[in-house]
Amino acid sequence: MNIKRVLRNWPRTVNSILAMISVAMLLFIKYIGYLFHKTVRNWPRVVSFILALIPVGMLVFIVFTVIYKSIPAIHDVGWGELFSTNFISPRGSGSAAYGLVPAIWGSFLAVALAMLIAIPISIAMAVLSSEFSLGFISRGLRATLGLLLGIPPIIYYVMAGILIVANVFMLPNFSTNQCTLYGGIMLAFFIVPFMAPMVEDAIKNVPHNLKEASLALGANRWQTLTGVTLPVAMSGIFYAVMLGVLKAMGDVFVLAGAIGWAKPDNQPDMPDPLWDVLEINPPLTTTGPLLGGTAQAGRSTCDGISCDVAYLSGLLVLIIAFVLLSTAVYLQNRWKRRIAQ
Amino acid sequence: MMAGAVRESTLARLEFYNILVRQGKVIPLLTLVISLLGFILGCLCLFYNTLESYPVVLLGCLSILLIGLVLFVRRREGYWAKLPFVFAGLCMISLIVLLFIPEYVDIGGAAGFVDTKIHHSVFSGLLLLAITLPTTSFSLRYLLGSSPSAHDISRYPLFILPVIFVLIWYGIILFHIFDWGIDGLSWGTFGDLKYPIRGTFIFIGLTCLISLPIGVGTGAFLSEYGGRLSGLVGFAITLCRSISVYILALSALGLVTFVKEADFLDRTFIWEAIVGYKLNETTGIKFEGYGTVIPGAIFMSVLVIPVIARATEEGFRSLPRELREGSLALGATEGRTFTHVLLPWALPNIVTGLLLGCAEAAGMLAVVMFLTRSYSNNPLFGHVNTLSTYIFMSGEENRFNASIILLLLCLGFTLIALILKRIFAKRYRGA
Repeated sequence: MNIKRVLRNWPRTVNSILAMISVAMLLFIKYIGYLFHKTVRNWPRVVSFILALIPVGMLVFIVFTVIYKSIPAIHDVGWGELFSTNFISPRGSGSAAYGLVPAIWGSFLAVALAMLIAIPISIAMAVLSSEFSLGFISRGLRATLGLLLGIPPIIYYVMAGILIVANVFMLPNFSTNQCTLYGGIMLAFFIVPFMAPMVEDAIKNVPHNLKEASLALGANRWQTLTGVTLPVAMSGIFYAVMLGVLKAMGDVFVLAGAIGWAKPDNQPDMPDPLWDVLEINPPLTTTGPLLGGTAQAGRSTCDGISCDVAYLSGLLVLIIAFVLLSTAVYLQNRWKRRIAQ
Repeated sequence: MMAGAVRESTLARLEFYNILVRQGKVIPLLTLVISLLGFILGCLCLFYNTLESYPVVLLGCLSILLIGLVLFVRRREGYWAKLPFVFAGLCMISLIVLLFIPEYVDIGGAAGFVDTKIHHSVFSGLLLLAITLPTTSFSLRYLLGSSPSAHDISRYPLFILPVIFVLIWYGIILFHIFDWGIDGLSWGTFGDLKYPIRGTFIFIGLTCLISLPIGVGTGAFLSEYGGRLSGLVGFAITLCRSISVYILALSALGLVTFVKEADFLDRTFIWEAIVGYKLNETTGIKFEGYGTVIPGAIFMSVLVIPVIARATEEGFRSLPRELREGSLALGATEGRTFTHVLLPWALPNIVTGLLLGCAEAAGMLAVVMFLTRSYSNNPLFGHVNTLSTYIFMSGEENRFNASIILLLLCLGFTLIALILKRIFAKRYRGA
């Protein structure tokens, strides 16, 4: 190929390059049209993908906001102070303390008590409405559960300080009728309508042939229930319980009504025997709003160290929720695979 | 004909009584009834301290009946014969305990806890619950004989009685809300409540407007088009569902409330309408965010989208394969299949999810309260005042009447959801 010849015939070269470009452009436009056509034909696929990205994006935004806002707390207060047992400062007038351990312990106590009450009751409800064919009782129970799910947490907040404690408990140490035990009880009744339908789904999803095999081998219905149905449904029940724990832990207003926003002045930082459920031990989700200053209306912005610690407590709740949920999903997938084998 | 029927039924009834008496079923039946009554009384005793004399009477009756069961009814085999003895003894012991117990017991001090005095009706309630749960069970056993089905049925109380316990408790809560609030309800209080009610409906409407299309699209993605990604999106959705309202409110707070220098964009009106930034009138330079109902609804939709998405997903998954493939085989595009086959089928679930989300939005307090710091009656461009914030802010006198309205609203939403689901399922699925 002679370079001089090419240069002499430059219009030919340029023309061929232009032709190639135009063909490529035509092909590209055709491809775009094809893509567009495909998109228009399959619009639900594309639109649902875009719409499904929105909640994921919102979640990512929330997580990053909370992380970003809680970094100054670690910087200013320090790990040692944050994870000490000195309860947060608003209750005392003295030096600032930002220990979150009492709040974490309070959350744990309340949720553990709530689960102790709620798990047997929701399993009983689920078994009653799915396993025993009791006609209108089962259907009515299902409808009642659906209705009770609609009771908003503010109703529990309103009823909290008044109903049980005022009548049968006398708590002479405190000015308010609040204690951790009471928070656990209220929380239990808050999450039963949430957990029971999921437990019921888990029990319904047990394969029929397993139950029938058990019955055919001569086991009665009680033995079938305890020996076959409940163990096989255990993965679903565990998942439901985990979601119930998350809902119980993340709740603010039921606990605020039953346990209160802050610890009274005459209470020790940690409860004296650790399992003292008759003390007021505010959980993480009411301590955080108190720190952020958003529990009281009238504060214009949330700033300062206490607000950063509030974000950090939110981050802690988020991390616990993430860990619990991942564990639940992982275990459920594993158990499902084992049952399928 | 008529007389014969009456006579037959009378005869059957007489025969029933005859069997009851002759086979010695009277005492087990009475024991069953008294045990059930005792359980209900035990539930009530945990919550009220004015019922103190009834448990004593009931325990006395129960112990006499149990002794009668031992003496007069034919003995059962095995441990069933010994159980009435044991429980009659327990009844008597608890009877004596209840007679001599002081009115308030310092149980907290005894357990090494904080000094807490508990009324003795709590103990009588707990004793009644503990005694009547087994007695119900074995009185059923005595009543029904020893057939295999009797063996099952005698276990039913283990499941029925906890449910009765919970339902009584919910009944107490709802009864007291209505009992204490009904006096405060009048047309005058409706005048006070009109702005909160309007705010609640604006909040619900905006939330639904945002979260319905996103929720349905996410549900379609989860069940139909997601493929491998749907697991990940499902995890994110579940995390959204179980996210604490308080984290939500905190992140919204970080976005919406701040103080900064006003720039060119901030001087345009649009920010005040959408996000609620306001020029500080005293300085003229500083710009303050305060939050309106719109960011509140956007952050609320994080909690409502998962409800709608899960309901929609369930609806799409329950579609029979033949219908979808039939539509595709007839030459319909994916879009047409979606609008004409999938959506009508899933409509009952979508409506149910939407109404459940509405109930959730109606009861939501945290997001609204954290976002709006002072409450005005301007519905859109100012702050929002909803029923839940009204309940939270008002004192003991005013909160119960607003609670009644909020409760009726939420229960109405869930009830309509349940009814519509049945109606739509009949219409579109022929089920």
